[in-house]
Amino acid sequence: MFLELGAEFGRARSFPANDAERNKNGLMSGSLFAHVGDDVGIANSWRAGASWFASEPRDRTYDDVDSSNTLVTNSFSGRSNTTVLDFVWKWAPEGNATERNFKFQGEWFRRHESGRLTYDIDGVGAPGGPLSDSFSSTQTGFYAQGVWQFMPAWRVGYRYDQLENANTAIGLVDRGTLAASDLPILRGYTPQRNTAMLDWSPSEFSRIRLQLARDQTRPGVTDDQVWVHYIMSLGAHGAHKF
Amino acid sequence: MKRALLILLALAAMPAAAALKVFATVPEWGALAQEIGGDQVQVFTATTALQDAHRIDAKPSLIARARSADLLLATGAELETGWLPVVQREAGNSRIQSGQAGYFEAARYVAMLDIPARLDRADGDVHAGGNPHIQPDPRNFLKVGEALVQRMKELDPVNAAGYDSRWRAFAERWRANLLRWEKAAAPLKGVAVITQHKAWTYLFDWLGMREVGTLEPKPGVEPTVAHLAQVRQQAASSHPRMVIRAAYNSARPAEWLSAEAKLPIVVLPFTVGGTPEAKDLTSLFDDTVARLLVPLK
Repeated sequence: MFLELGAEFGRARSFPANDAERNKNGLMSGSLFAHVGDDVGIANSWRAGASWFASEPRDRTYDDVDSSNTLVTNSFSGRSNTTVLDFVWKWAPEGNATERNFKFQGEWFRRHESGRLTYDIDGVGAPGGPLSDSFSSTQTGFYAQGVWQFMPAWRVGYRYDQLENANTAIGLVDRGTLAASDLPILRGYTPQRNTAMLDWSPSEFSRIRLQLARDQTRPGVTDDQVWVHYIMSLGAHGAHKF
Repeated sequence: MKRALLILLALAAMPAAAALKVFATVPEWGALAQEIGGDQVQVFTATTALQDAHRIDAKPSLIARARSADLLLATGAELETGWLPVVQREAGNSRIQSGQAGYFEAARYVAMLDIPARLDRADGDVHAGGNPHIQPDPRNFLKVGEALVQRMKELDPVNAAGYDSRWRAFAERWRANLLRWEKAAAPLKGVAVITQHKAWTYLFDWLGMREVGTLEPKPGVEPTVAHLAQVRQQAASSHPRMVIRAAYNSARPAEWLSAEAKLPIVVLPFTVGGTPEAKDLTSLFDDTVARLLVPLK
């Protein structure tokens, strides 16, 4: 039985931890994680994990278009915690993945944020910012994917991603300072995406992939995407992580 | 986010128990350590004869086993390069890191064959140190075992006498077996064969057989239809007597050639456990020689 416990600390330079003021090295965000894993017979192996990421973003900005159709910049300061559960299951006949194998992988996320939201930090919007009030949001999301190698060098795969409608309490809207249409990105919707792929690996070092996606991550818009990837590796053979 | 600090708690890093814990990457070295160590060792073998040792993942179960190992027994010559470095790194076990006494590479103690004149990805999965499949030549077990028994004595001096006496008994039996196998395999000298993967160079060097083609167009590259057709054509002039594949190889390419060129297929165990008969090192070579002789009858 494999068991791994760990903790990591890091800077706060990227989402969701952004802190523009403290652009330096230090303990500004942190995570705790645990992994367990084992084999089931000779053909199956798995790993499951849980992790928790905590940070205190300050003046984390994003752009939106308010009800007067003006591009405004809003910002959030407060606490942001993310809980992640992850799971991988691999199967190969006799544990020999060369010819046929299957891999299932999924992750579930829950992010909770609370603090203050500032509308229109530059004061260019119609109601005239900046306006600040309390904000809290809880949102979950997940993806699940399966990849099946049905013969040597050939694989098919399918992946589904989804974010749930966030459960929000926006002080600026709830107290009537702003209309919900002034903060359209924060209005609820459920982005989702379906992706299917077929790839062929002539050797360990190159891969050609056809990928089809139906992307519904923007409200009211469906993007149908076709990708052809050519992936190759140069230099030493990298080892296979689980 | 950049990692500023990473703390790993290796719960399994408990004091070594009485027996020397051996982590063998492939069955043949696990079997050899068992012959030398007897009940003074506890051997874990990471892969089976039905798995392709080039293509193993650094599974959680392997990392967990490597954490408590006293001796990591690998082939080396880049055979395990696809997974072992990750297992060593994730295991958090300083005893089995490369360069430590607890890390043993068998390929260092034998004369390597197929050392490439140039290293180029275009030549397929070639290894700078030479062909890493050293175990089909039983003479190599004497060289590897000689070095391994020294290493085991160094790591576990309390049991040195036991390792020595079991090794001497094994080596004596092995020399007698070598004479027996070489005598039985005498008709194989000069016989031309086609193989699936370039995994048998050391076997052919031992028995004087000739490899006149491989089903893989390049080492580690799966057989293609065009290449198989070419091998089929060559077979008409080079007159191979059989097509050889290892137990872990896919059956289909060899079956195709067998049907097209009217060649018998010989499935060799490749290592301990590859066939029902290959139960230990001695029966591995008993079975290998017996199976090679079948098409000559």
